Amino acid sequence: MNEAAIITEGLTKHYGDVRALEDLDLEIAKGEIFGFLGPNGSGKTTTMRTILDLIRPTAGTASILGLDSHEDAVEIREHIGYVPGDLALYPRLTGKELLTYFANLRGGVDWTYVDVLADQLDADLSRKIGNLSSGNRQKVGLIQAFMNKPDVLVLDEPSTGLDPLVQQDFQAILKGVAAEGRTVFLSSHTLSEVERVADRVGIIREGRLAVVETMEMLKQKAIRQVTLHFARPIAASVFEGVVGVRSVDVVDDTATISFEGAMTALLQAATDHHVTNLTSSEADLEEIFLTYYRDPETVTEKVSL
Amino acid sequence: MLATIYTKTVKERTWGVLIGAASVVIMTIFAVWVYADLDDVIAEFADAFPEAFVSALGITTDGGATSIVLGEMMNLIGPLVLGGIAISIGTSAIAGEERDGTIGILLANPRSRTAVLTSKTRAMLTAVVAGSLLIWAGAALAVSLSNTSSAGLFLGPMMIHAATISIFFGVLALFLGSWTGNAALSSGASVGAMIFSFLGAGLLPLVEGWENGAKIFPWYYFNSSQPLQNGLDAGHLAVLWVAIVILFGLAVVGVNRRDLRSGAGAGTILERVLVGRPRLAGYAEKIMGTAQVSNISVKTVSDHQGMATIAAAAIFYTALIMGPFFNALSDALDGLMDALPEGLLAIVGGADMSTPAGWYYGELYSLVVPGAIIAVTVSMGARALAGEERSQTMDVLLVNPIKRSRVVLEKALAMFGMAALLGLATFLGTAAGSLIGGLDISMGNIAAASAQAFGLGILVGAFALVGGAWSGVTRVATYTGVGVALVGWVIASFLPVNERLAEWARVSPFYYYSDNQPLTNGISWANMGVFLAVTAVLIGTAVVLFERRDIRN
Repeated sequence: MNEAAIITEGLTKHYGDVRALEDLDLEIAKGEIFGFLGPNGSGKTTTMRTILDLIRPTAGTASILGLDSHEDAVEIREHIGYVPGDLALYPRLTGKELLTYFANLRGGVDWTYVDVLADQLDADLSRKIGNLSSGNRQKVGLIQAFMNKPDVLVLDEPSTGLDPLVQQDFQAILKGVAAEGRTVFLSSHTLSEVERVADRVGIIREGRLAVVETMEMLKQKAIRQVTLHFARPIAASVFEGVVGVRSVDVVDDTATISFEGAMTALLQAATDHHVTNLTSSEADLEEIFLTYYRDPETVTEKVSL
Repeated sequence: MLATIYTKTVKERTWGVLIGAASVVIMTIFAVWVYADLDDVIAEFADAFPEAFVSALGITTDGGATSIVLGEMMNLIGPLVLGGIAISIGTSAIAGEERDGTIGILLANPRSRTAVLTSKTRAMLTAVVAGSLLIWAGAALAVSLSNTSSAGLFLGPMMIHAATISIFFGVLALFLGSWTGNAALSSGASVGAMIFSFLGAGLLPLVEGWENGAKIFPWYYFNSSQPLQNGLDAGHLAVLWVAIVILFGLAVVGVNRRDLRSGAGAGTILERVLVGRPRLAGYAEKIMGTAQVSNISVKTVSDHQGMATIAAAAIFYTALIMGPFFNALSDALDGLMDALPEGLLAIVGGADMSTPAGWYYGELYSLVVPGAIIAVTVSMGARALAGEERSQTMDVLLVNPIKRSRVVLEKALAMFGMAALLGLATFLGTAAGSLIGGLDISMGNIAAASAQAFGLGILVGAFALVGGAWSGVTRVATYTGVGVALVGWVIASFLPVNERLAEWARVSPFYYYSDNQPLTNGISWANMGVFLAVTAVLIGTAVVLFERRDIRN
């Protein structure tokens, strides 16, 4: 049995001379939350709309749950939920009417679960969508994607417009979905959100996949800062040549060190000098994400690490 | 001042004006050419035209066939096209920017609302004047190509009148949009007012004792003085320009005193008025209908319920009053038709207006009924696919487990339902009008004419659907439907006049609507078969086109 939820092979989409997507190979496992990152116009939405058969690839194929994205499109849609990047809903309908409409087209929606979702996201389904703020409209969009408990969720910037509290609730829902063995394909510009929920991330740049990495690996690669306090003033030379250390800044008895990778060698070097205190910042994943966003040269270098 | 807003608006409208004016010019050249052979025939009958008839059609025979054709084009088609362009610009000036959610960013620039309104209005004036000049030049060209003379015809003054009435309706749309922020209401009400005004100004002078009633309609000040034959009427123009200035002033007041909408997110003045008035809100809700969402067809019908209710009511009541109207006018019409050559009858759909069936046909079924049904079906056909793409809801609709073909078919079914409803309103209104007026038109024939109007409506709507399925752009879809309707109407109206060309009228959908004169002769199953078969082919084409392409985002 195929354990991949989504597979793309050589997926390519050109609009005339514009190469929106170029030879994209991607495999997302069942039960995984896959974060999909990239600068504006890098091809994230094109990828999602292509695998959903809303647009057709110039070359290559995509499959969801082992079904061909084009040939089996209708069957696939029984198993997916989707929030488009630029969410638009029918302004004359109330949230409830909109969900009823899609529930009628879809069949098999559990309304108790809809109420649970509405409660979790604090969504008002009685008001007309045209009269809702963009954040509240987004909540209705999220509920329509989650309401049939789909096996695969394709979410294009789903937390747009949500306040931080609702974002937290939303992230909890995502984790719950993954815990049930369902799959989430998540595009987002909120890097902290991806960092919190994703198992793996893929970064796309100019239509090409720059890197796919587990969150663990990325965290290991990320540069962290650690501040060491010693009993006596210390020389910067102590940390020279220590594996992973990128820079050292010493003021009297305090050393601020930037490093990447495992801490073992650094700690070994430090403990010879009577450490009185140690503070460490979170791994700065954002910085590593942004490195991939910015510079193709760096990307190549990082991938080869 | 505000060169960018002005030039941007003019630039956006350039193609619309060029295409609109070129269409009128091509139609004019075509019609003048078709009619050229008939000059002698018409001259023979020229003196037989009673004033009432001339007034009803806004034409005169002084200049022979050319004059009649130019009168038809410049009294009706020209101002309708230019008025449509003006209404479109007037609507989009403020209400359209609100609908698109761009008004906020526009007004974030250091420009006052009044200045924005003024710039957009200037752009509208420019577009209408440019369109008028093109039509004027085209009309002169048509006359010179036909080797006839334009002596005695005041083409320039005619176009000044036409431009003025067009600007009036454009400013009316501007005024409505400025006060309500509702683009659909602004354009719908202005187009409705234009058509109502045209009918009122044409019909009331025919009714004894009601002649002066026509003066309440702006259209009266446009062409009752017959500017094509008599030149400028400064008094009438002054009335229209005073009204234009007042409407513009009110628009300035309106746009400055209310909260502007931001996309679909904010309520209009109308909605806020309704909030405090439950009874009024109840009536509005009844007209608009509560949203029905059980499937795509039902929801689509529900989406268009407001427009269809108004169109059905308008058709019903117009059809209803035509019965008693006929009795009031029968003296004026009596004998008139015998004096008219067949070619001229073609303009009113070949109707003998001295008989009840002919009267209904000439006044209602030749233009108003097909116009109203086509307006609804083209709107539905255009919005079916392209409209969902424009509003970006197609993505969430299509990720439901349904085939694209089902979306096309269910939307088409909704369009059929709405066309059937309007056909029913036509039937009921005519039947009631006939009974009240004691006109004794066969119920079967009324049903036949209504059925053929339904057939015409779904066929033209299907063209708009194909346009949307192919392009995903509502404008392309609408132009496809409207283009087929206009060209079809011109072909079916003018080609039969000329024996050499008469057979070619069969390419027009209108031919199958009116050729057998269903109100007089009953239904033509062959013609109905043509409607249904061609519509089926078009919908099949729409399915194939829509299945094959990318959804626009």
